[in-house]
Amino acid sequence: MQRYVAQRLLLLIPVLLVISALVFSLMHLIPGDPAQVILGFENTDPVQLEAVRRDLGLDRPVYVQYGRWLSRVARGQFGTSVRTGRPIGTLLGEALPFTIELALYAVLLAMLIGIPVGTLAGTTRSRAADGAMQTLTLLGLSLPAFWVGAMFILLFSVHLRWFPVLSYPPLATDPLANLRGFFLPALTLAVPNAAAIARMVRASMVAVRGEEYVKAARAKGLSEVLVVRRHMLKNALIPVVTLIGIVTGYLLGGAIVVEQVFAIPGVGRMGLQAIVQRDYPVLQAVVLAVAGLFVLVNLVVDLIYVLLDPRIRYS
Amino acid sequence: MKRFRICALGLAVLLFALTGAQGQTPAPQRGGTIRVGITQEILNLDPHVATAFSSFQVLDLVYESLLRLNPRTLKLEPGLAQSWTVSPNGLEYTFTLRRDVTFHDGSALDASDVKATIDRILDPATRSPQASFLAPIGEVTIVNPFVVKVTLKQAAPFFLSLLTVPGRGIVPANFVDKVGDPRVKTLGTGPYMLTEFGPGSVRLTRYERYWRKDAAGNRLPYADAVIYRVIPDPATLRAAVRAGEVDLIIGFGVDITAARALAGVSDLRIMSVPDLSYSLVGINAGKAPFSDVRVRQAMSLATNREQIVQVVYGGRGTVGGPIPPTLEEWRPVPARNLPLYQPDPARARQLLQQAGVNLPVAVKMMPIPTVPEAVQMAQVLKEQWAAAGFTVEIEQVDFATFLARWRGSQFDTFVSLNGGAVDPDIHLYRHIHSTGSTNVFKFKDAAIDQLLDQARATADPARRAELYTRLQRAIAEQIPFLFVAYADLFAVARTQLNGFVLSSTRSMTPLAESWLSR
Repeated sequence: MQRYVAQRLLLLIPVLLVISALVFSLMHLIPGDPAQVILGFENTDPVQLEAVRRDLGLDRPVYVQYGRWLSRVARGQFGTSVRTGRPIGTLLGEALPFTIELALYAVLLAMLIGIPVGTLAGTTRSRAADGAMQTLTLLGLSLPAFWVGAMFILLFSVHLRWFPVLSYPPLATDPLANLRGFFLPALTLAVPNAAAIARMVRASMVAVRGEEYVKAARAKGLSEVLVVRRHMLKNALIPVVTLIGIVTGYLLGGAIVVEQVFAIPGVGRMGLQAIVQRDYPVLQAVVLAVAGLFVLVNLVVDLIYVLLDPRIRYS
Repeated sequence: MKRFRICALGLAVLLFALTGAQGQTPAPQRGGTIRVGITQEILNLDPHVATAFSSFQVLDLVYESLLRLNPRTLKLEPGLAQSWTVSPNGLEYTFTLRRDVTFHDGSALDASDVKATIDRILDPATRSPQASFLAPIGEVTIVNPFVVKVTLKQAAPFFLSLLTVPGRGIVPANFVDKVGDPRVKTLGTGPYMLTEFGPGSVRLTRYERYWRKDAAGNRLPYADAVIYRVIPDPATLRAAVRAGEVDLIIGFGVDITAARALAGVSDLRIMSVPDLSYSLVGINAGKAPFSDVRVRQAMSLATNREQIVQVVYGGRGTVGGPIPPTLEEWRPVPARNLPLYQPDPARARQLLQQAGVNLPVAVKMMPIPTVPEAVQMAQVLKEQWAAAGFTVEIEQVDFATFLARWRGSQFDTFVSLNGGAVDPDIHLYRHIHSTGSTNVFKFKDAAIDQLLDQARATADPARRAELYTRLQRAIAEQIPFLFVAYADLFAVARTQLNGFVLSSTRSMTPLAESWLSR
């Protein structure tokens, strides 16, 4: 088991290398010059433009730039943002906690909503109830996050005043206020994922409904609740765990829209700004951080399989 | 007894008058934190290097220049220089500095700081976008610790108005040694100093030794702190001010939509003034068929500017001539009286035929992505121009691409917003003169060059106004690009925020005189 974890962690290195090379070259393929963005509208002096490009190393071929960047990162130096001059390590350190908390909170909410709804839909004998849940989940999957977020703010913050807008105190200093502040963004992010989880759970439940061991459990005279909880749900959850793993990874990268709507200064917004400003080093660091987390989440998911099903072994 | 009654009555009237007057303008209260919501990320805070509008919204309160612009009247006022004289030939400006000004580290301002600042801006190594504005400066000499003399290479009657923005703010000598990295740390003389530069927000704290006082002799500023919060989504920005999370929303994203959405909310106050900045359609005069003035004239005749003001700006704006309508003293010709300003698609077609181009003329149009109205304007123009024989294809690109193509003159036309200025020279010269630093239009016209140069060399305001009146007509006929409209600017404040004035220059300096009622 330990060897397996070590292997998987080692595998991170080639994955991140490929991703970084890909992002680096793609970024340089899109038109637009960071030097010009830095100099802005007023400064059109070609000599100055060249000088800034030289400072940034942009006059070198892309592979040389990539090599330089790689050797710096190998030594643990992400450099500074070309736009703001702030160290990228600091920027990431400030932004990552926001995004990680948002993603975890959203996954938790998505599970808390998705699993019970899916279970109910998968075990109910009422066609109307099943149909209603199917429609609701379809809606949840289809509504765009920017609209859902805006509606939540209007309803819960502006009209009802149940939640503050844009208040994100650190978890350590004021946990209650923090959870309250992050609730609406997390819920917005959770909505489509809760719907996806609910659909997956429903399908799994329907699949295991006819299995022999379920019939056997019923024949033993177990109550329906126990049959569902102990026999059906545990087996139905294995594919759901895979889905949750994938969802968590996507949430990390996909928080851009929600961070934009709720004004959360997380890595999603940082990455978006970096693209707009052509801030190459910042974008590289953001992509690496998100990709690394994605791989780690998948590792955790694989380990959870073992807990759910003792027949699965890694070596 | 009778006298006593009269006295008592007089006293009562006096007391009533006093309390009545107080009810109208309550005395400012000190303390509290003013929270400002803006949509753009705050970037570089080096006053001489910054280019983003959001950076200047912060720098307005941290750095000060030799002179100030009154935010209401747009007239020059003493700033760090308490007085100045101009030599008869208009080449020597002598500034006398205030003696009670200190930087945020407690060190006193003197003439060497002014010289060091100008040298820093003009030093090519600084890469300051402000350098081109200060290009007329030949030499800066320190007369004594509080008097500094600036000698110009050529006459520049607009020189004083160049000294009013934070981009030319005075920093101490050895600025970089003192602050380290001026992009993230500041050292100015302004009413507030930077104490926190975090993700998505900036916190400024009152500088206790700030030199300016209010009419009653109280030290400014009133509030303990100002916080800028970046809220990128305009809908969230509106929600934030409604929910009382911020006291003021201002800048991009606060527009006619916001004004309409928030109109009638009891604890909000909506402010608006005409903008100095203007929307424009840039035309590449270096490229056929747009190099033919008749084609450009056809574009002007194809454009219904009034309709654009109605559709894009909800009627809250003015059809744009080359001189902003707010600058009365430069005698702006009313836009409706300018040549080629009345829409006439039939005449536009005629002009195109005379120019010998095949109809319809294919035109690509690139709206700037950072100004939401630009895309809308491009869509309206596409409709309007179709009637005159143009087929417009809208090219949507991101900001960095826009900037690169703008700079390289790689466009047929673009839609954008140009920053305005209180002096017509600064407003026009750099864009329209054939040697202008931002003449990306490849526009060249000897007569217009001559008029611009002549106006630049003329000190007499009346003669200058006359020259600019002539220039307006010439520009309307030659069409370096289309001046489209001056929209109204908006800001929304919670009623507890007092004393804030929305300025046509978008200056945030009035926050130094703003206060919160509790």
